[in-house]
Amino acid sequence: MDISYSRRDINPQLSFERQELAAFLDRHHLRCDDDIEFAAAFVDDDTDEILGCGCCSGNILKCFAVDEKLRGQNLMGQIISILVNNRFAAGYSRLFVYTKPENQTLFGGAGFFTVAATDRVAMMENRPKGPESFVASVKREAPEDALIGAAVMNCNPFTLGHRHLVEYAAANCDLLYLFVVEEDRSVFPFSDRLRLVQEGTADLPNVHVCAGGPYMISSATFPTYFLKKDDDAVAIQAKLDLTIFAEKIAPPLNIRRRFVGQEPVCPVTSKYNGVMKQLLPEHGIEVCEIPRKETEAGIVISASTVRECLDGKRPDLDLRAFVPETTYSYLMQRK
Amino acid sequence: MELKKPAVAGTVESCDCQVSIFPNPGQGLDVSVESNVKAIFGDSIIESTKDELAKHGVKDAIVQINDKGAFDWIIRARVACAAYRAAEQKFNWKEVE
Repeated sequence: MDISYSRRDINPQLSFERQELAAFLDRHHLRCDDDIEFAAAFVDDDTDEILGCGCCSGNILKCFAVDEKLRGQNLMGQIISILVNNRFAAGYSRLFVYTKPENQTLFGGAGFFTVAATDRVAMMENRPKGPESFVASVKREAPEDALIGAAVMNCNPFTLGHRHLVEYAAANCDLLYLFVVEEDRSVFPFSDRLRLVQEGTADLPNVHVCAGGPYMISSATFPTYFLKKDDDAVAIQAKLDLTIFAEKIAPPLNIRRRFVGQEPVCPVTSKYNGVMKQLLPEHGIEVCEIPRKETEAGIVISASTVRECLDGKRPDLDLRAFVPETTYSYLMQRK
Repeated sequence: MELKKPAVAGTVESCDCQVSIFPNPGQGLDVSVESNVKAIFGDSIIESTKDELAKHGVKDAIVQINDKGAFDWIIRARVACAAYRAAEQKFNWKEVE
């Protein structure tokens, strides 16, 4: 029997609509992420039950499911079309999908191209050759035999610890690409973070500071809706991020060494570093892990401590011992 | 007609196409096509797209067409619609004859 259905947009800000959506996704073993801004759904004309849906948040499309009863009618194509139109209207034209690797053909048919895929997740975007054009936009010419290194940092904000790592890295390669993670969910907006890194490393001629682009994945925006409850989201995200780096970013830029700060405190970063040490050498990229810099008083310098200072949680500490002059004056102006 | 922002028109349903258009100031036209029938109709889709853009005075644009077996006139309509959205202009129906 044919089921008649029609389109219904779901507003996840309304709690009853959100619950309905979450229940539907749960039946398909998917989680409903908290940050969904818009959801497109198709509902049964008789019962008003959801039969298929897709959601989006910022430039990410996610949480897709179609009921068994309606599979094979390309309902997903309609859902993706609605979402793409909605996102363009909202001002996002560069769109990404994170999905199970086996769904690549489905999204491929809807105009998405695979950036990279691991055994657990594929990242796709709505333009062909995205990583190639990103690489072309950051590439610096260097002699063929030059030793080229890279570091990826959030710098929220830029501290003397970052400075220490960059100085070490710059001294241990001919050209250093310093990628600043591009997302605006950090305390400090991306444009400010980027500027502070540029100012704080301006005296190091072989350091090339660049925007991380969409290919340095932030854990703040990595969707986990398709993972099971006991899956290790951090490890899965780390593997995807590092696979993109190793396959799409490093080879065309001839990067052979990646620098990273040792992580004694944060379990997420320390796990990320662990995956890095395993995965990058398999692609011929050497990983240099550098011990954290401490203040003269023996306190490890980290951006999170700086943020605590600013929040007034650490009245015992002097901010000047943690950040370079450029960052200090920025923080004082901001106050 | 000058494009002010990225825009999209159409869908990825069967017999339709989805046209994404991006400003490309001073860089001319860059049209790319994905289609199951690209081997047979790819060139004609690109030709129609360029022709349609020329009709509306669009000289600089990056256009991505994701074709699902659309007829020529559908492709032209989607291209024109995307271009007008990108230029933030209303389509003048009186021009159509």
